[in-house]
Amino acid sequence: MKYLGKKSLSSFLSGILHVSWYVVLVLSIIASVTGAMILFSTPVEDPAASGIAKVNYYMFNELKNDEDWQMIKNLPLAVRFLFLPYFWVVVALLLQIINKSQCLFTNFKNDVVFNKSNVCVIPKICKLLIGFSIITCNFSSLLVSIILLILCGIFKNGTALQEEHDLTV
Amino acid sequence: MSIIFRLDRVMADRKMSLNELALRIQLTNSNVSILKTGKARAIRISTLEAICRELNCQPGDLLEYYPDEKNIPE
Repeated sequence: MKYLGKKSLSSFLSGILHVSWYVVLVLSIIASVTGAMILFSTPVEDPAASGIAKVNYYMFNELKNDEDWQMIKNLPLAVRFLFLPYFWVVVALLLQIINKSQCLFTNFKNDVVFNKSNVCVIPKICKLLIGFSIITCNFSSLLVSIILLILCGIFKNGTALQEEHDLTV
Repeated sequence: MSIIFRLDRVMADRKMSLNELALRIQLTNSNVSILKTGKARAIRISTLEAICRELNCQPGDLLEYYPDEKNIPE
């Protein structure tokens, strides 16, 4: 399998990440609107309602028997207000990670591997991933990001060697 | 760096252009330019040999050493 260059795993990942950035953006907008509706609106009891009220009716009917939903519904309004900023922070981090990863894989696609821009981008991805892991309490990705941060040191040395090689005439 | 590559001076003395030298020693123009501008970190013995052959000079004509203040023993 080819990892670098055109028609390789890197170019495939670059394409996937490019598409997923837009998908995540659109889905997060939809999710935040829906989430706000669920969190802050009161249930509509009338099945003959129309428009948004009809959506509201069906949504609350679906959630009626959900235990998690009951728990969220019983939370004070101030706590419920925190859900949206938390969600936006998670989405912003995710979008940043996808964007930076796409830059990295585009460089790999163009056979630019040991390069100063890559050396700058990889630690940024690692730090964003650490933040993301802490916020979402995902300790396996935290471990992966820490290992990746250590591997950055090797990448940095590789770039120095490449520079040395390029300037040897 | 305290070693200075004097390729530009020797080339001017021999009235040889960068393109011509690059062609003769079979290096790319950009690599000869790196040598000429002193950006090179290292030079292969084979490259030095080719330059000396084409410019009819000694390695000492191409390289000059200027000791830094730090390098002077007390």
